[in-house]
Amino acid sequence: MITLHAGEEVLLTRRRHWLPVALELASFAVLAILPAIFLSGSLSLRYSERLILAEYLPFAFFGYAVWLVLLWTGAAIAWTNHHLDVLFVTNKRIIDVEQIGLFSRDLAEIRIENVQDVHVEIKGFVPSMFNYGNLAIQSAGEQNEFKVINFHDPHGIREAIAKAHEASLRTPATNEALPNISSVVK
Amino acid sequence: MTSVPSSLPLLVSAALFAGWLTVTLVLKHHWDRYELNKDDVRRAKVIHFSVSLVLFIFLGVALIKAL
Repeated sequence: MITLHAGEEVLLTRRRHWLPVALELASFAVLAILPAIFLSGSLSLRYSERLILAEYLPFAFFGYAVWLVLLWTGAAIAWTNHHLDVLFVTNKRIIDVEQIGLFSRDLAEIRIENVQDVHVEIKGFVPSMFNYGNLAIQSAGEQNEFKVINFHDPHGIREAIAKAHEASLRTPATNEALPNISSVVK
Repeated sequence: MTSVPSSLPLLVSAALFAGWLTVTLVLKHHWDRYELNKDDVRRAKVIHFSVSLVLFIFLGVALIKAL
């Protein structure tokens, strides 16, 4: 997924928190159930009305099957978009890998010694209870702000970045050749 | 019944399968290439393919009834 430079070691690997994608998948489940409720509601109609509907019932079931396949495919895409987003903190860089839809993948990185400020944002009752939130990382490089959204234990990530940053300041800079890259792989 | 052309469900099913296959191949490529945990990939594939199989069986039955 990423290529480490000489002397570089991964200090922390984090994925997005599972709750936001679970809520997204729950909305797919609700959309899957709704037509079934509507179809079962047709059973309570009068006999004459049911006779008219019976003619179209095979098409209704076919449409429902199509709907379920579409929803399942959409849910697989949503889960993949969530699951392939990863944040790496190494002793030299912070790397944010973000899957954007099916055909776009964003990889952004900041050199650890360029980090100026890390701001943690945990907003609302649910994120506080489940310990997930956003991080805004200010850097001295070309890319001024770097945002990672809905990651588990953002305070832990901030601490790991702070420790790596302190360690990088203590050791003499030997990695001038490392580029400050922000690239989109499509 | 006569207002729906009989070939329409067949065409819709074929288009749906083609779309599902394309998306699945792209997803499989992403899972194989970018996933960090091989167990997660295996689990994702088992769940995706088994649920898809059940849904396509349901689609097949519904298609036969609609034709």
